Amino acid sequence: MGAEHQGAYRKLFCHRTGMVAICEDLPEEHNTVTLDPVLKDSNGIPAPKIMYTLSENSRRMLDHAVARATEILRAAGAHDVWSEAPIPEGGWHLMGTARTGTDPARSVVNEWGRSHDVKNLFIVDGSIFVTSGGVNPTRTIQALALYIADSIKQRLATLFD
Amino acid sequence: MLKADQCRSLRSLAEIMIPASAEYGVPSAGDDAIFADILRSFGRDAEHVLAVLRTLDQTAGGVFADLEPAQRKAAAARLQESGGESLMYLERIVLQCYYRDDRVMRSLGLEVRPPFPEGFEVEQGDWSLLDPVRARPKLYREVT
Repeated sequence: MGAEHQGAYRKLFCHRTGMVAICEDLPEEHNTVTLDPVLKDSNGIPAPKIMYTLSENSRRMLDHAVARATEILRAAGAHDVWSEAPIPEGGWHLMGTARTGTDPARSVVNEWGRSHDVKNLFIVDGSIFVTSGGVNPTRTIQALALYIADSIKQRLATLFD
Repeated sequence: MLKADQCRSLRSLAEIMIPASAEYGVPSAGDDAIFADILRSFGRDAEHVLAVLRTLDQTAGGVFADLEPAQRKAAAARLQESGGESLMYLERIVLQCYYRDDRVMRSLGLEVRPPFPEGFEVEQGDWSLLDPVRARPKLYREVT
């Protein structure tokens, strides 16, 4: 803001670059999605209550990523390096909570997406991941959808056994 | 949507935020066309714009635009120092409208058009720089 704006803008224009690191949260029990005891939609259905805390492990991964990225940028000639972690505004991949597994005591769906408890319920989205994954999850979710659809097709005769 | 006094104050603030520059041959953000764009564009962020104007008027003890130039600059500096979410929204609107003005874009060496749908011709770099990468042994496991 002010008289210095024009010069400052031109100094930065076409001379800036950015880097983003995506870190993979561990499956941590303090991060949960539960039914909100108070908040409900117009049909009386409880809203999801999402509890998330950045763990020490995630914090250290972020710090590591920022340190390496800073090294890269400085090696490339950057002289003003600025960072923020985690980013306050940005996409966050909300995943897990109905994870895949063979053991009903430790997972929600089996290895082809069927709920252990409700045999005619299939979950086909990011919630069946066991961790968040290191990068954007859409293609993996698409692959899982194809895999689970194929599994359903191949098991039609015994699908709910 | 804004009252006349609010309009004058917002324009004064925009002029302080991005003054005209004879060196670069560009107008201020309070220029007629740019300010008209600002007024058309704040839409859903109107509450933030109004909040900033209220803060300015409180600081001024009246209408911000009626202060002497030096007092306006001082009040704007205090506003910037105190920051806040509403000011961030207002800055974004002013910057957005300013840097899509044809005169400003030309002064930065930009073509006065959006990048799409025509697209830009991208100058080809030296693709042989990737040869060592292509020659490198694979880093991944085969999936069977």
